[in-house]
Amino acid sequence: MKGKQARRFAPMAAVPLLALTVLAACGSSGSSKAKGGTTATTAAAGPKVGGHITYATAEVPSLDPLKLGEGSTGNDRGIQIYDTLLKLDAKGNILPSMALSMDSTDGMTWTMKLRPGVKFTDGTPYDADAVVYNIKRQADPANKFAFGGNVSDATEITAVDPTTVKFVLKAPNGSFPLGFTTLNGLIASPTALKADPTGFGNKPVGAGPFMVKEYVRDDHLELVRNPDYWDKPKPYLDGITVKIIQDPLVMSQALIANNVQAIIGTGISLAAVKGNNDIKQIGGIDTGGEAVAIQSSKKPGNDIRFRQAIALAFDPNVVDQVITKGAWTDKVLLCPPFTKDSPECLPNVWPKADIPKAKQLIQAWLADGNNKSVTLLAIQGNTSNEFIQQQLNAIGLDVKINTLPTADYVAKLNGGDFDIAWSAMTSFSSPYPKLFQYFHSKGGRAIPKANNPDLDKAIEKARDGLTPDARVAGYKDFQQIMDTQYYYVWYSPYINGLLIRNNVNVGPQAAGTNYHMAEFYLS
Amino acid sequence: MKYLLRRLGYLLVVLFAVTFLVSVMMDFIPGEPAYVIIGENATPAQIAQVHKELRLDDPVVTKYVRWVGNALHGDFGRSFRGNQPISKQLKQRLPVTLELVILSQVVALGFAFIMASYGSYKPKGVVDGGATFLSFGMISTPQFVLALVLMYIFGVKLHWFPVSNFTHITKSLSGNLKSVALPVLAISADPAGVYQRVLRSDMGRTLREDYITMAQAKGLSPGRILVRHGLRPSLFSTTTLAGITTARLIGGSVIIETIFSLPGIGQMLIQAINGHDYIAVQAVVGVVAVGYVVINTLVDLLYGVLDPRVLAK
Repeated sequence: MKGKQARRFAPMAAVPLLALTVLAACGSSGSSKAKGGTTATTAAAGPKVGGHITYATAEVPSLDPLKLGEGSTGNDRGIQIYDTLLKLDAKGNILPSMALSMDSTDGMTWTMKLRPGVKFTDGTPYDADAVVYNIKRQADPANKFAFGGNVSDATEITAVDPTTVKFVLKAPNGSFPLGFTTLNGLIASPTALKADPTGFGNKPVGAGPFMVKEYVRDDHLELVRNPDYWDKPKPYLDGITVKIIQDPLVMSQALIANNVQAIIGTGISLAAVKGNNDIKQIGGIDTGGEAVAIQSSKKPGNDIRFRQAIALAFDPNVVDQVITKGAWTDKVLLCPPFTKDSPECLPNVWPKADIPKAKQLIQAWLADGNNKSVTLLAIQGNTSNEFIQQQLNAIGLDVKINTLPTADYVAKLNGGDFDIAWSAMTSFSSPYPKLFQYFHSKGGRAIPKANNPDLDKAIEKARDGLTPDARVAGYKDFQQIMDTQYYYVWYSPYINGLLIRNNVNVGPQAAGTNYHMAEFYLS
Repeated sequence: MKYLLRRLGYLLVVLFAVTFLVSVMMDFIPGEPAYVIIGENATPAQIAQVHKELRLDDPVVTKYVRWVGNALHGDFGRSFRGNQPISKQLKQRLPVTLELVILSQVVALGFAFIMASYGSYKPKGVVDGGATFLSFGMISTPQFVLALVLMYIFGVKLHWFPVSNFTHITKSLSGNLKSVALPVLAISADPAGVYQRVLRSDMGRTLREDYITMAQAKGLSPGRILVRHGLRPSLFSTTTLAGITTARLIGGSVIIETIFSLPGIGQMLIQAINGHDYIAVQAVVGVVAVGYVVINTLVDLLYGVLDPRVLAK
């Protein structure tokens, strides 16, 4: 994770005209191709071609790109089936992928050049029309796409020619290309989408490195190499079985037993595989984290004493013991949700735990006639629920837990129908669009309902800045406000990354959990 | 024939009661199925549209009658989660659960027959004592604890059996048997212990009957006496138990299927409940109810085979 943020917007800084120009990738580094699913041919002095891995994760509602979330909530499959228009390298630089470049001179008009000659696995051309169709589908509010806000500000999305797409935005947005490195970059075959809009999620068609051979919902997804993938000899693997396992402990045991070769690491799974020399960890303490979201537009959260008390209530040592299971090595929240190496990190503003002061704040707050009974909105089966309850009861509150199934929980969370709520922010390769969605009043979620114009301005500054420094300054403003207003109380970092068997190599990957498994190969 | 018709009528009444009650209960469960279908950011207008399209606001009786009508044509509707036909999911998942149940019963009954017969033949011997001890252990160990212990020892430590990867029988018979070995052992332990205790007791009583003494006096071999004259008359209680247990295991495989990530209907039920997919819940419960009633009817009929006096009554 070291230095992973330090270079996020470096390409844009390097180009004075504010042109984000992604040079055409070299494409194929060799012409060797794995044959018939057999293993162990070697791309000229490169990674071994062939083999198969099983990757365990949880099920998603659908494989339609509009229904996927980031990382293990869907993009871990989406990227393999659809690829992305752009991607990030390990240093956070934007690289070409399905799109060769994305340029702008003013941050408002963006031109995307597509890789010529690419086809979806059903034979449909992967051209500007296909991209325009998908992006308009993303932007359509009726589709309620979580990342729709990234493209809905475009007043014009047009296919200039078969390999050129033009976007005109309402206002300058220096972060605009970043969405295309993740969910906005997943482009599905328009032919297949139009043929069966409702069934597409079970029979997805993309142009990514792998294609779906078999999908048995809630059990497994069998992916096999796309023989016409543009970036040969990738994918190096013949195929990937995505095995659906809900329980992280069972997942870990399957990894130890070598029944699966890769899983997403969590505190529980990290603890379960600790000391096992056959397994390695990619990633670790990452951006994002677990938090208590406080509904700040109504009682009790509209009182800053209440919010501050909660922010002071969590002892990192206890958090590590109960939640992160020993994986939180430094036990310091220096600048959540960023890591200490992030350029956006504004250190030492987020308060350290202070239980006596938290109790005093609650006592003063109760003395004003407030009721100590508070309801925690929580998700079913989450081990953090009772932990939060205990910590907050210890400072003088009386916390009741309202556990709901995921869909209902999220609806209440996004709708502001709660006092306080458990919330998690999964790690991000780039703070935009996630922080915009979580905290800006027009971000779609605006979880704490802060109604703070200064906070909106800081987030907009971070989003719209035309230089990396301008954007970093915006994120520091954002932290300054969040760290002193306590709308969203971080108590744990996001322990993240892949746990994989030693013989699996992940190749070059960006930070976060949006893994491009076309790069994976076996030793 | 009259007996058969009576059992059939009983089956229909139970099926109606169970599926109707499930319909009513699903109507009372809090939560909004529209969120499952169109996502967590659904607007009130979209929710209303889903309700209209799926006729979710119809009276429960209307919905039930419609469901029965479709189910009789093999159409259980489409899952809210993933929009797949429920009948397709059942077709994929039911064989997995049935395989688990059948193999578990074979293991459990096999253990009971051997241990109970030998124990009755040589009462208070080492085998009899050992089997009794083992049976009590198996009965008193919770299924999920045994599953985790088996998984840890034979899957994680010894790598003899897979922890989670189910292999379909059409792909590899040996792979399939390996992938269900631990789940089958975990499921079969409890019924095996119970069957052994019941059968051992019944056989002990049977072997003290006069006709057994006569058979011994006639010089029949111990094996023939045990199997032919001892086992069969002692099977009444075990048959009843096996019938009830088989039916119970169809719906009770939830824990084991979840622990071993087996794609059976138990896991489907859990995921459907968590996902507010009440159409899927109704279908699974209906299938389990059918299984329960059919198996118990078969057990009733089997009494007639074991003892023709039952039919005569």
